[in-house]
Amino acid sequence: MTSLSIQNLSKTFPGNVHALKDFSLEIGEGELVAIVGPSGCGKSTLLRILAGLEEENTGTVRLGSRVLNGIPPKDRDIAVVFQSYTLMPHLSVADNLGFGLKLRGEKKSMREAKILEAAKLLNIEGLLQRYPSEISGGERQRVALGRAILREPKVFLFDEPLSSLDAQMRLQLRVEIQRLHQRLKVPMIFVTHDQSEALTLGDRVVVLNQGSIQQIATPEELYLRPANTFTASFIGSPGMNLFHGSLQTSAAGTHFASSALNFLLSAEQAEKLRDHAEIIAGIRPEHLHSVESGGKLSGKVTAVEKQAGQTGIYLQNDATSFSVKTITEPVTKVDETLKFDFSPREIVFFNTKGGFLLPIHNVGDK
Amino acid sequence: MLRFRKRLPLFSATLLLALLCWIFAFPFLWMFFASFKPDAAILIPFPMFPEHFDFSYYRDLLTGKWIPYPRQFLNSLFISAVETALATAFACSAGYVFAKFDFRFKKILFILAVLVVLIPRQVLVLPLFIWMNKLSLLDTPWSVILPGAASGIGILYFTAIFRRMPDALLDMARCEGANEYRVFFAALPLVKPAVIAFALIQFVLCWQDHLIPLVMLSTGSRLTVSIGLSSLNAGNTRVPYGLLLAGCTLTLLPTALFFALAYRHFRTALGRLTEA
Repeated sequence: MTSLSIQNLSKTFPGNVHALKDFSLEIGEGELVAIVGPSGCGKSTLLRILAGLEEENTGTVRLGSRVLNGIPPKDRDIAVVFQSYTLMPHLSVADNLGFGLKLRGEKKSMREAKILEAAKLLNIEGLLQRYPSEISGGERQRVALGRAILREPKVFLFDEPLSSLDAQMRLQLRVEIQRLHQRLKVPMIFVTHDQSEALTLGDRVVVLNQGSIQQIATPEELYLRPANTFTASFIGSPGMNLFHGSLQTSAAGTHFASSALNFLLSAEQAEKLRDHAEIIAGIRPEHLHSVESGGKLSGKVTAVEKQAGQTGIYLQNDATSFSVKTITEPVTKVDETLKFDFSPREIVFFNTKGGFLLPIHNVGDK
Repeated sequence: MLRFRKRLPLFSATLLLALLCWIFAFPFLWMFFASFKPDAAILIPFPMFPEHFDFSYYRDLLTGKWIPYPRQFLNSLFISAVETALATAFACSAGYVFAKFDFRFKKILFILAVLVVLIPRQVLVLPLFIWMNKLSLLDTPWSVILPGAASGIGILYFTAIFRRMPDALLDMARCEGANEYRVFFAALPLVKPAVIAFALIQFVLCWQDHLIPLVMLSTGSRLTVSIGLSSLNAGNTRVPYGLLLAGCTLTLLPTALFFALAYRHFRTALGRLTEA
C-alpha cells in the first residue's frame, strides 16, 4: 500500500498557457480523489503528468518514497482509464484485456488465467472472443477497466471514463468503480467535468479552475462551505445564487442591501462582517422557499425546468438573476412574480476581493 | 413502362462501364493472344483469337535464347521486393514520427520531404549516378534499390494516415508498459490496409521503372525485365513482335498477382482516405 504525493506541480504550454499552477495534493492509501472543473481547467494535464505522458515544468510527484519525475509511463506502476475506449480494434476482448500482460512478457497460461479472472470480476466473460466493434460502449469501457486492473497498479487514474456513455451505463459503471475502489484499496484519481460524478465518487473532491486549486474538501463540505464564489457557482445544479451588495446600518441593525435582496443580519453575522462594506451573499437554490407574502427576495419567472422529482425555476430581479429548486409540484408560469424566504443560517458570505468565503458559522449547523 | 424507366439509369450505367472495361482490357487481351501468333498475323487485330496457340516465344524467353530473361525476371523481383520493403519501412516509420512527435526542425524536414515529391526524377538521375559511382554500387541491384527506398510521397501519405490515429491508443500502450518502439509496432496493425496499399503501389512503380535501371545497370544479366525487353527492340536486333508480347505478358504476372492478393486491403485504405 502506497500513497501518492504531488507537490507544487506546474505546467506551462507554449504560448504562455498555464495549464497547472502550483498544484499540491496528498492522496492516502485507498483514497479516491475526484478532480472536477470546467473544460480546459488543467485536470487532464495533471493526469497526463502523473501518468508520465507529459513532462512537468516544476514540482515533484512521489509514489510512496519513490520520486516519479522523469520515469517513463511504462515503469510508473500507474494504470490509466481514458475517456475514449482505447481498445485495439483488431484484437479480441481477451487480447485487449491481456494487451499489457503480453507487453510485459507474462506467460500465456498465466495470462489466460488472469484475463478470465478480470473478465469475471467485470461480468464480461461472455464477450472474450468478440471484437470491440461488436460490443457496446459500456462493455468497451469495462474491458478498458479490466485491462487497467490487470496492470496491478499502485495508482489508478481515470480520465473522464464515463463521459462517452449513456446515462444508465454511466450509473452502472460508476457503481462498478466504487466496488473496485473498495476492493483494491489503492489511491485513485478520478477526473471529470461532471460534478455529480465527482461528488458521489470522491472521498475528497478537488475543484480546479484555470490550473489553480480552488478547494480541496469532502463532497459535503464543498457543497455547504464553498471556499470561494467559483466553487459556489460551479458546484450544485444550478449553482449557488450570488448577490453583490453592501452592508448598511440602521436603527434596526445591520442590513445586507442589494438591488434584489435585502435582509437584516443577525448580531453574530453583523459583528463578524463589520470590516466589510461591500460583500457577496450566497444561497443555494434549494434553500429558498416560496412564501405568499413578505419574503426577503422576489423575482419574475423567466423559465421553468421540470426534472424528475424536482423543478428548477429561473428568475430575474432587475439585473440579478437567480434560481430556485423545489421538490413540490410547481404551479408557476413564466412572467409570474414570486416571493421567497430563507433561513439566515443557510446564507454564506464572500468578500468582493477574490470572492473568498468569510467564516461566520458552520452552514447547515442547526 | 415505369419499371423500365426505373431501370434505365442502371442499364445505361452498366453499358457505359462495360464499354470502359472493354477499352481498358482490349490492349491486354490483344497482347496476350497476339503473343501466340506468328508475325504475319499480329498486325491484323481480328480475329483476336489465334488459329492455334504457338508457345515457341515463351519457350525462347524462358530458355534465354535472345536475352537472359529468367535471370532478368529474378533481378526485377529482387529489386522490386527489397525496394518496396525498404521504402514502406522508411516511409511508415518516418510518417509516424512526423505525425506523432514534436522535435526541432520538424517543419523544415517535412518541407524537404515534400520537395522530394516535387522534383522530377529526371533531374535527380545524374547526381544519383555520380553518387552511386562514388559508392562503387553502379551495375549492382543496390544502385536501383537505394534511390527508390526513400519515398517522399510515402512519408506524406503515412503522415496523413498516422495523424488520424487517436493519441489515446498510443498513450494507452505507453501506460500498459510499451517503450516507444513497442508503441509503434502496437500501432502498426491499425494501419495495415494503408501499409499494404502503399506497398502495392510502390511494387508496381518499381517493377515498371525504366529510367533508374536504364542509367544504373549495364550488364545484360543484371538488367531488369523492363530494360531487358526494350533492349530486344533496340539497335540492330530484329526480333518477332510475338516474342516482345510474350515477354510483356510474363512481366505483367507478378504485379497482377500481387494486386489480386492485396486488392481487398487496397480498397479499404482508399475507402478510409475518402472517409477522412
